[in-house]
Amino acid sequence: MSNASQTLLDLSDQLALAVENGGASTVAVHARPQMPSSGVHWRDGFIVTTNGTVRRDGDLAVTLPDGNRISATLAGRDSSTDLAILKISTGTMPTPAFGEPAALKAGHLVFALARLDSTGPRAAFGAVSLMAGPWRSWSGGEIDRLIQSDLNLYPGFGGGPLIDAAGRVLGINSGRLSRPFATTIPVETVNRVIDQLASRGYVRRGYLGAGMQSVRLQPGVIQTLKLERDSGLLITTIQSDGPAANGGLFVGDVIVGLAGKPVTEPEDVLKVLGGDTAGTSLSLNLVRGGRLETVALLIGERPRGR
Amino acid sequence: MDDNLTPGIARDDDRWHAPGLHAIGDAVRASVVQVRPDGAGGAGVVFDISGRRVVVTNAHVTRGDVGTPILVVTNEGKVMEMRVEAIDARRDLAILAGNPTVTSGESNLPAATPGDLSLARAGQLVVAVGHPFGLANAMTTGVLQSIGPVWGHAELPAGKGALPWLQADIHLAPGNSGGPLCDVQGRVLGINTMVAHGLALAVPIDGVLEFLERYPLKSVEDIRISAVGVRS
Repeated sequence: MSNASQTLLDLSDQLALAVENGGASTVAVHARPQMPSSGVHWRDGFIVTTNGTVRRDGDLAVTLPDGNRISATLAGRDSSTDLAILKISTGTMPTPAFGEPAALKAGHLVFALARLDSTGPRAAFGAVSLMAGPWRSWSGGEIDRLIQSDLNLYPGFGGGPLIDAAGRVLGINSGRLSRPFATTIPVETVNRVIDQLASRGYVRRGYLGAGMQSVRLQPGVIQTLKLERDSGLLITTIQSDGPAANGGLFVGDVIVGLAGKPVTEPEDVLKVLGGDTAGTSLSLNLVRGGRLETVALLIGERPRGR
Repeated sequence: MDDNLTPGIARDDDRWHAPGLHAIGDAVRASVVQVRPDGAGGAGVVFDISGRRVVVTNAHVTRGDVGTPILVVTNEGKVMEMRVEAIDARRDLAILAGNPTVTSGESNLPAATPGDLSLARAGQLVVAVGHPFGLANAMTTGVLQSIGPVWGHAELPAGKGALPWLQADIHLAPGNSGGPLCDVQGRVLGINTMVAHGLALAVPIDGVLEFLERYPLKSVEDIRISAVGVRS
């Protein structure tokens, strides 16, 4: 055989080996009518899949790489990051080797894997088409980095892993977040969410209980109060008995700083409230009646489903 | 049959040092024909039965019953009149044979080499050659996704989904029908037949060889099926 042919054969074998390795921790998730979705045995006893493919809370099962179908229970779900976690008995199968999404670049070869039944794994092949920094899903979830790939997520591939050419797991492919490009929830986001879901069953989010909108401040006010920015956040509604009400905020207050940093857009507040902040104290800089005031309030926990 | 493949690859290897999918394409193309080149046609793959050359394509590409005359154009541009010799409607396969019989000696039609499905694995590279949208001898690459029945095959024509298929993550279009799905050594793993949910479905080579084995070669005596690699 010629060298070129041998090189191609070696490449093909390596790719098939990557699929085999990544497939060793890829399971089929039976949590919706008709077609199953896929999942990854992320930590011993915990299967990670996408929230959108878990259509019921009970009567769940997974098909393991050895073809056995076992029952599973829902450990938690988070619609904002489109992740769900199922619990299975420990010691049933290996957990994957994880890759480093931070080292991933556009052009790297990747696979999406799936398992639908006792056969498989199934593979779809492509290249990373875009890498970018943190983003927020349309349902408000913080995702640590954007990974989009030029590959086809076939029916049943949602919840399965994106793997690199060495078979290492880079994240979970979300069909729901994927329109139009195949989008992957990176390893670090999954780890962060799984910690909260495994202990609490849901992801706790910080909450102020106030509605606000961005407004421009008068030049005189900016000068007099020596403000860093020319706009702030006008409080338009306050939920009774919410954290903002309890902290003494009023409709008409203009928030210009949170935790010492200037804020001009509602998005700035969501960033401060991101992560596990519920129950912690937050200082606000307000313009009230032409004067600058500082108010401290306790960040509440966003009611679930909001 | 290997002789048809090796020279092309070796020659290209002397000119290019990068791993050459093009060399695989060149080698495979020699055994791929255009079937019904008058539009809405497809591809076909040349196989050898005891020194006799036949073309395997999809039944839906022939659009006719056994006995229908059909034009075939070889990779070198030679136009040949063949006819439909056998049809397997269940697997959507047809065998075309020359009239008069085309033999290995007189034709420049190298036969394809069947691959070994027992070695096929998900994720391995695959190559398709065909004539998508009439673009002659176009080559496409992708990976094998799985082998087996199509999941949730209710949308496929009656009973077809339950048959074993080579399922490939590769972009195919009308005109690829009847063409080969090959491994990176140019060996035929299956015959590209349809697309479902963007997934390419090919009849596994084992099913093709089985069909060739059943094929009644009326005009040729001493049929030795082993020539196409089937254990008799």
